Amino acid sequence: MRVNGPSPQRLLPIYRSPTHVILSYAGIEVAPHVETTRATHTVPTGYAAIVSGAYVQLVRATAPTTLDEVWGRVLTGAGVLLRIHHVNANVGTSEFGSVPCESFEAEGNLIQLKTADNSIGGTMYYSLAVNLVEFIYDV
Amino acid sequence: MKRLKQIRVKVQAPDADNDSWHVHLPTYMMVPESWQPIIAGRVDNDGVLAKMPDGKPVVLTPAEKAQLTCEVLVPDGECDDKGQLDKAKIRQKYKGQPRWDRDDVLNDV
Repeated sequence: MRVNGPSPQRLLPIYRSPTHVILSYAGIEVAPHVETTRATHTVPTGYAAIVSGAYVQLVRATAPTTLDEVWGRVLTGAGVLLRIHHVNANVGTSEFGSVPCESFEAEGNLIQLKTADNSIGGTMYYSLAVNLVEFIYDV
Repeated sequence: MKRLKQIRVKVQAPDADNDSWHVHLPTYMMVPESWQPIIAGRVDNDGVLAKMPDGKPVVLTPAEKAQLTCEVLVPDGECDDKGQLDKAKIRQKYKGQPRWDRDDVLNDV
């Protein structure tokens, strides 16, 4: 009995040994910090990946003495996928951004999560993550 | 990335490969509040400060930069049986990629 359409079929590349990779970073930091790469993933040789989603959330935990820009970034091989700013001294205010997407990443591409805070004093809660599906890609 | 190993590694200043402070590894996740040593007013347990309390930029000497470390989570497929980074496994996994397939790949880690 044939249930999946005409035979023979060829699997799509994404179905060849797919593996989920989740990069994440979460923490409360005292300002100010220069931009720092909190997490990185490099697509291995012989593989490709599809970024299936990413998000950044920034929450003001305690007020700064001097307010300035806070940001979190998600970068892929093509450049900046998501960049979220927060410029607010009020405790509890937050900025959130997410991208459901299908960004193709070839072998050697870097996916990175970065944070920075230019305020003086005060603390921010950061939560960043990116989700990939990585698979054998030798076509 | 099936299991992760937690190890302490050197932190690198911004360079041609990366425009921010980073770890020279192909895959890692930084552990919050794990930076050492803490240098009062310039480096805390989450990284290098952007400016001094008076607003002046932070300056680190080469010796201070060289001793900065943090803890990271790395895939066990890039580690040996003892949980330490394995150069041969990293070179094999990223074979042909100039940034990682090189004999000195772990010199800055």
